[in-house]
Amino acid sequence: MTLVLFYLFAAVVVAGAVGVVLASNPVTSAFSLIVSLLGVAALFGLAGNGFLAIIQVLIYVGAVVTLFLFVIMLLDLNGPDLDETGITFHRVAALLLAAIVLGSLLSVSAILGAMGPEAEPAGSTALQIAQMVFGRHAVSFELASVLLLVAVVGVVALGRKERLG
Amino acid sequence: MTDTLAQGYLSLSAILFTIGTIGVLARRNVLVVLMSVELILNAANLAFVGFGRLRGGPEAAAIVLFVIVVAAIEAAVGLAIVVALFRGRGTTRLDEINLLRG
Repeated sequence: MTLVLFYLFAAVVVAGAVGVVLASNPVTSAFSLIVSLLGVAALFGLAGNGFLAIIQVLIYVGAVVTLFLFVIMLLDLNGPDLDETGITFHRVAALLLAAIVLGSLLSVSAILGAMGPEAEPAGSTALQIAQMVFGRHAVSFELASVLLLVAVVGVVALGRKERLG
Repeated sequence: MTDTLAQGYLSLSAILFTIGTIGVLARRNVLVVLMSVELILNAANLAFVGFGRLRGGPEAAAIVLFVIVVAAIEAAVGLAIVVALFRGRGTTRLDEINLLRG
């Protein structure tokens, strides 16, 4: 049953991701991204990480993709910005490189996955994650908050009309 | 004994990463490239969850949380740069943004 659900959600994730790359209109790409990210959230839940699934929906679908859609609407793209057709040299090169990446990643994941579990497969609750984040990774947590502050200041500086300095 | 589900997570992560790579390399619209970067980060998260299943313990979930935070920051800063670029040069096509080309 779990495996059937896994294949279902995996198909949703891959379909959404292919939609992101193939859609000619960025709005279609953004909505395909929502489909793909919701599939990833479902897969987090399937692995027993319900908290991560909620965070994925709240932050990714609720904030990040909404931000993308805001910017797409703000820029009001048309004509030459959306025209992407034809087989060019760099596209063929990109596909070749992607094939190499896929082959190497799949072989690495096959080797690592075949090592077998070291512990009984289990998910993690919000309590366990909180103990990890505020315990062993407390410094990383503080660094993440500093990073957020720097990003906010940077975005405000980038968004100003007049040049700084 | 192998864990089929963990193996599936790792394989799906590899496929998602590859699709994201194609998006970054082959598309010329900067917004779609940024979305493909999000796909790549999600592939990394899926791999973390798969390895977390193999190793047990909430360590992987905590790292996924940090990856999500950094991904949100990356999207915010990236989109601010896109807006500033569009204001200055009137395009979102990457091959027309060549300020640094010698």
